[in-house]
Parts: sequence; structure tokens; C-alpha cells
Amino acid sequence: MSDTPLSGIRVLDFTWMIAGTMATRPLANLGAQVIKVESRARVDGMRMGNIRVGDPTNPDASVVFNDCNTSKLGMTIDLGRPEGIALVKQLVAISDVVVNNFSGTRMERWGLDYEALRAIKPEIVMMQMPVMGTTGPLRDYRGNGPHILAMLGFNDATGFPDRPPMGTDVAYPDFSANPNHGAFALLAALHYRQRTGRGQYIDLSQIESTAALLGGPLLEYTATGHLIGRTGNADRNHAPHGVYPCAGDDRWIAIAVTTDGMWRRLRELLGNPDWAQEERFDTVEGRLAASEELDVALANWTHDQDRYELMERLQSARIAAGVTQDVRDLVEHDEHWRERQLTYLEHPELGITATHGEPIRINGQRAELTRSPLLGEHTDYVLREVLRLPDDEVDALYLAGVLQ
Amino acid sequence: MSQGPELFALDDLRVIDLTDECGVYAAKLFADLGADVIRVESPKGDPLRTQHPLFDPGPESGAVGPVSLPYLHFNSNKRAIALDLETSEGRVVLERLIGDADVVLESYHPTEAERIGLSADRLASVNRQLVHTSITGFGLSGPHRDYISSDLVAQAMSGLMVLTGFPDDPPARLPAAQAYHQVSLEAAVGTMAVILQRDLGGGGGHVELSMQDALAVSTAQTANLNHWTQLKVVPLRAGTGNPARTFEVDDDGAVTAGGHGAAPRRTIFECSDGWAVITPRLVDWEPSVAWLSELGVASALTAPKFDDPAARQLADFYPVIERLVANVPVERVYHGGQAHGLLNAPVRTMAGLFEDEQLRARGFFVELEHPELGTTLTYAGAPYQLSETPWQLRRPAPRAGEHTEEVLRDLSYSDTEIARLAEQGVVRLEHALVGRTAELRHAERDPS
Repeated sequence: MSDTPLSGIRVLDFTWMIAGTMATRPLANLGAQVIKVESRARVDGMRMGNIRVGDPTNPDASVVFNDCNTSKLGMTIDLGRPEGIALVKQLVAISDVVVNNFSGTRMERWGLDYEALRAIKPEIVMMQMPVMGTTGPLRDYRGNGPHILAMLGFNDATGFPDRPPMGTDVAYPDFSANPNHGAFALLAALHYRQRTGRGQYIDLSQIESTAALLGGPLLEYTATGHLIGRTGNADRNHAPHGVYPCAGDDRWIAIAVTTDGMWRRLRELLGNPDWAQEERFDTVEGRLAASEELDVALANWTHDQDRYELMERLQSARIAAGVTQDVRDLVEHDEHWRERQLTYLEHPELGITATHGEPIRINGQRAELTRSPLLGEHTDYVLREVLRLPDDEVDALYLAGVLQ
Repeated sequence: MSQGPELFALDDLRVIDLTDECGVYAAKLFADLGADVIRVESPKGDPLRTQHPLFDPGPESGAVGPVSLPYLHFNSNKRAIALDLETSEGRVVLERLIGDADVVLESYHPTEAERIGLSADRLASVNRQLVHTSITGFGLSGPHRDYISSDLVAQAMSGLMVLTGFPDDPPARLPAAQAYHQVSLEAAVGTMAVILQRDLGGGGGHVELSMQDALAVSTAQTANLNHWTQLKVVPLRAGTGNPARTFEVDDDGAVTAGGHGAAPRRTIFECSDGWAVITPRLVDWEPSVAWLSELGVASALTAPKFDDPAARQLADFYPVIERLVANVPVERVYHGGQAHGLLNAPVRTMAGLFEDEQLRARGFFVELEHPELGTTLTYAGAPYQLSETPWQLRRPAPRAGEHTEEVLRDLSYSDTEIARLAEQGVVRLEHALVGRTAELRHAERDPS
């Protein structure tokens, strides 16, 4: 059985930054041939992003670019020239998918809108994924992860009630809703094409795709008028449920008692103290009503314990618990995550960098990742081996400066 | 949009949904593009039907207990069969279902999956073309394989929580069960990848996702592993909307508080009637100064020394922004900044989404009639617009066991066999609008 299910699929990839490049990352890691197209005049902005090594103008020295573009081929084409656009059209003719996350009308201005692509290859699947979508009065507005979270009410519902709505420091939509909804839509459209021979156009608005992850609270608001607001780590279905201090500075453990059985086992672990015997705690309704009281009692128990030892004890008693880990903990303390996910890539400019693996495992295999492409690294390969252009045509493109 | 008859991208696929809350969104993604998703629930009912928040449809609906709104959201477009998997007869029915299916999505704890016969080898022997997707807290391998997880635990262990909130507060979680959403999304992508492998002439396969692995993608990149592995810096929550509070670690591994050189970046500012995201960038220096000058005196940014781009610092912006937006309404900060091409955004409540002119113009929200509740509810709409095969909300989530008989007939069970299975309690034929009841709540999966 293969662990590269997408072998045979070719993606012409104009995505940049994170939300788009993370949509084609799993496709590349799972075996699709993803050809990333850039221009030397306008490289993927993430090539200039942090963390960097050495020369600030080196397009091959960004760690996050390397994280987002594993297993892809990279080529450069001057898209400001008609010969460059003509070359793109030749690539469209042999591709299954064309994808980008530009805002505004950039693809149209290049003459690479869906109608133009369909004229070249009727069964092409094209996806655009600008922040606001490709239609509507605000379609040219700009933003990224933090803006999307704020606009959609994530910030208003993140953190503790007495604090301002600062949200999270994680650009969550760029890694979750947008790339994954995008990749799913592309694969669904390819499946439809396999059945019917028909391609299609996908318009993914990042604000809509992220709002889809708030389905429960949005339905609650329309059905009952209630807004969830900021409630810290409390939960409406479970108690006790929170993050509790452990020994050391800024050390915490998350505990989620999600069944009555878990509560009974926790009580035992606590040493069956008198207070925990009260009947009202036997049901989740009783525990929810007393959640603040339970939080204080639990914090009292956790505060001088070692966080990892406590996690082990709780998990041994079949209680959902986990340390609030940081990146150092993931690398140094979490043998499990390290074994499943930690990946080191060797890169000519960056040296050895750490990244996460492909989280999708097929047939028990961890996907083999290759490092991101250097700028224009595979231009020659794509022209000769993928497009199979004769040598004289390739030479002419180089001489004319089209491959910049 | 499609013309003529409605077409669906996935209406040739049958998906057996054996998930709990961790994977239920993955199955929804299939259902909303037209797959026949059959959700298997206990004859007592689906424990997800007890989840808060609840909606009371009133006595005339005949509902047994108030109805779970998350249940309605996550299970629209699906069918439901009430089948007792604790009986051997029930497992035989399940095998027939699986034999006839394209996809099984399940989120049992690994030992529980083995107990009820859902191991990868077993399912592959039942149906070689099957795509079997396992969603778990920590995966099917590794030292924490048997750990119990939850949304909170996954957010903690993946590194998300230490990046959320204020330095003086405990780490905080993202709302609305994002661990379940993230793992479901990646599971759906993996599942579709193997469906495509079948389309291209290959066989089925087993897809495996862990909540921790799925969520750690965000943190491995945002906080970046290389902050630690190369720079010996640990990014932690700053309460500014950007990872800036860091610890530096000396050669002995001792941790000392302090940043690593750069001034903290700020993204969220208080306006006259709320908060806005304002993310000045040095590349946007001129438009930022132009926008701020519209709001008031921004002379601190027009000093001659700033003619030299090398003299400009992000920190120069912050006091000016803070002073100038304090008397300006949020929506004006949003639209005024965007008019200059700046990345400004409002901090809204979820109620604000229903007023958003862009979401409204594109018709994001969808109304769905609920005859069983005697009302119409408004749902979050399509995450993507597919031109030929649009996302659609076709029908509300099923009543408990609503399609038991129909599904058994699909599998060619005879009337006699169906009656016998019902009599033995293996299936339940009468269906009801089941909500949160004490009996059902106790049917929850306890990983003991």
C-alpha cells in the first residue's frame, strides 16, 4: 500500500505567505507534484520573513518559508512578460490544479483568470483564496490571521472576562481553516472531475472559511441571542475543567474531567478528602454549579507538584490531562510528539532546521518530507523533465530572460 | 453557481460516521458536499445530543429534553441509524454497512477501537477499497498512545495555550473546540487524498490523525521550533496579539526573563467604542502616516530624520496610534485604514458578523427550516464556493435513529430480519427528537 496517495496529481502553485502555501503543503507531502511559481521581481514574501539566517536580502534564508513549502518544486518565471505568461499557460495545459491566495485581481491582470485557464484546459480545477473572497464590496480589503480572528469574534471569546480581547498570538486561521478547507475543496473537486470529466472554479474567502469553525456559537447566537464571550478555560459541558498551576514559574497543567467516572477517579487520586465526597459533585450539573470552588481546590492540590509527573499520574488514572507545553517542551520533554512529528531538514543556507512533520499519516507511515525549494531551484527540471521542452526552446527562454 | 439540476462533488460516496465530538466536523465536510453520511448512534441516542448550548423547542415539538445546538450544527445533511455496537449482532450489521461504504470515520480511543473490532487490519479485510480514518487524541503509535485527550488537553499539549492570553494569567484556550475542528479538517484532507488514490486506480487505505499533531502545526510555525532549537528562545504569550514575551536561556539552560532584542510588536489598540487590530509595517510607512494624519496630528512620524528609511522603527508608530485612535470609532479605523491599503480590522463580537456587509453581500449565512422544531434557524454557511458542485445545507440533523429502517433496507435486510433486530434491541426503529436527558448523558463514552 502506498503512503503517497496523490502521486500523479500536478498542482501549479501560485500561493504565497502562509494560508495558501499551507494548503498545498499536505498535497506535496502526500505525493502530488506541486510546482511553485515565483518571479525574481516578486518572490513569495515569506522568503523574506522570520526566522532568518544571515543576509536579510537572501530569499533562501527564511525558516518559516522552509516550514510551509516542504516537498514542493520551485521555479521562477517573469510574469511581467508575455513570454512568461505563455510559459505558464503551457504548464496549465499539463496541470490538474491551479491555486493562489492573492488578494484582488492579480490573476486576471496576468490574463490567468478561470475563463482563460479553462480555454487552455477545460477540466482544470482552479482555486482562489483571498482574505475576503473574490466578490463582494470589500473584496480588495487586506488582512491575515490576526485580522480574521478579530473580525470574526474569536478575540471576543478568547481569554478571561476581565481582560481586553487580545486573542491569541497564534495566526491560527493561516494553519487551520484556510489551508485545510482549501485542500479539501481541491481534492473534492478533483474527485468530481475524475467521475465526470468536469473541472470547476473554487472561491474560498478566508473570513468565511474561518467563520465556519464557529458554527456552534453562531447557531447559538441566532437561536437564543446568547454570545459566548470570554470565559477563560471554563466549559459549559464539563467541570472541573481548567488550567492549574504546578511547581515552578509559569508551569501549568490542563485537566478536563469530561465524565462522571473521571471525577470519581480524580477524587480517589486526591486521596478522597472529605470535601470531595459531597453528593452534589457526583453529577456534572452539580460540578458545573461549583466549578469555581472545584478550581480552587484543584489548584491547591496541583500547585506544588511537578507538571509532567502529575500528568503521568492523572493519565494513569484515565483522566484527561496535559501540560501546557511551549516549543522547548515539545522538543525537549515530549518524547511522544518528537517521535511522531519532529522533523529535521537539511538546507544549504539554513543548515539543519526543525519543523513539524506531515500530520496526516497514511497506512501507519510518516510521510517523507523534503526541504523547501531554493528560489528557482527546479526551473530547469520543470522545463526539461516535466514540460519536456526541447533544448533550444529552453535555451531561448533563458537567453530572453523569461526565467527570472 | 450551478445551473440546472443540483450537482454534488461527493454524492457517490457513502461515509460511515462513528465519530464523537473530535471527528464529527470531518463527517460534516463530506455531508455538506453531498456524500451519504450515515451516523451510527446507540439505541439510547447519541451522547452529542446532550451537549450545551441547548435550545428548547417547546412542548408541542414532542422533544425529549432540550435540543443540543452543536448537535444540529455538526450533523445536518446526515442520516442516523440507531445500532447497538455492544452486541455481536450489532457488529454484524456494522460490518455490512462498512462492506458497502467508501469511508469510515471513527474517533474511538485506540483500545476501544480494537475492542469493538475497528482495527485497521480488520476493516481492510472487510472492504479492501475502504478508506478508514482514525482520529485520536495522541495517535496510534508512541508512548502517549493511550493517553486521554480533550479539546483543552490537546490545546495545552500542542503549545497553543502558552501563546494565548496575558503573561500574568494562566494560559488560555481558543473558543469553540478548535482542537476538534483542526483535527477534523486534516482528517478530511487525508481521507479525500486516499479517495483520490482510488480514483486514480489505487486501493483504499488507513488514514491516521492525532489532535496533538494536528494542532501543533500552528505552534511549530508561529512560535517556531527553531526559536528554541537554534536561538534558545522560548516564545510565550504576550497579551499583545503577537508572540513577543520570550525567555532567553543561557548555556546552562537557565531561563531569564526578557525579550530577544526587538521591541514587542503590538496589534490591538483601544478605540472610542471598542478595539481594533492595527498592524503597522515598515513597508507601509507612507500610507500609515497618511492615514494617521487624517485622524489628527502625526508630526512625531513626519520628522525629517524619518526621511531615511533606516531610521524608522515599528515602535515609533505605537504611541501615535494609541493617541489618535482613542477618539475614533472602530469601524472608522477599519475602513479608513483599508482605504489606504493598510491591514486594519475591527475586533467584533460574533453578533457583528451578521452585520458585516461583505458576508451579507456574499450570502454567507444560510437559513434552514426545522419542521421538527417548528422554526427556522440561521447557520454559518459555506467555507468555500464551488462553481459546479456548491456546498449545500439540504436538511436538518436527524432525529435519534431517524433512518434506521431506511439504512437497513439499503443493505437488503428483509422486513422479518429488521423486525427481529428491533425485537432483540440491536436496532431501534421508532425515532424521536432526543435532546439532553439524564439517561443519555450517562451513556457517554468513559475511557475507564
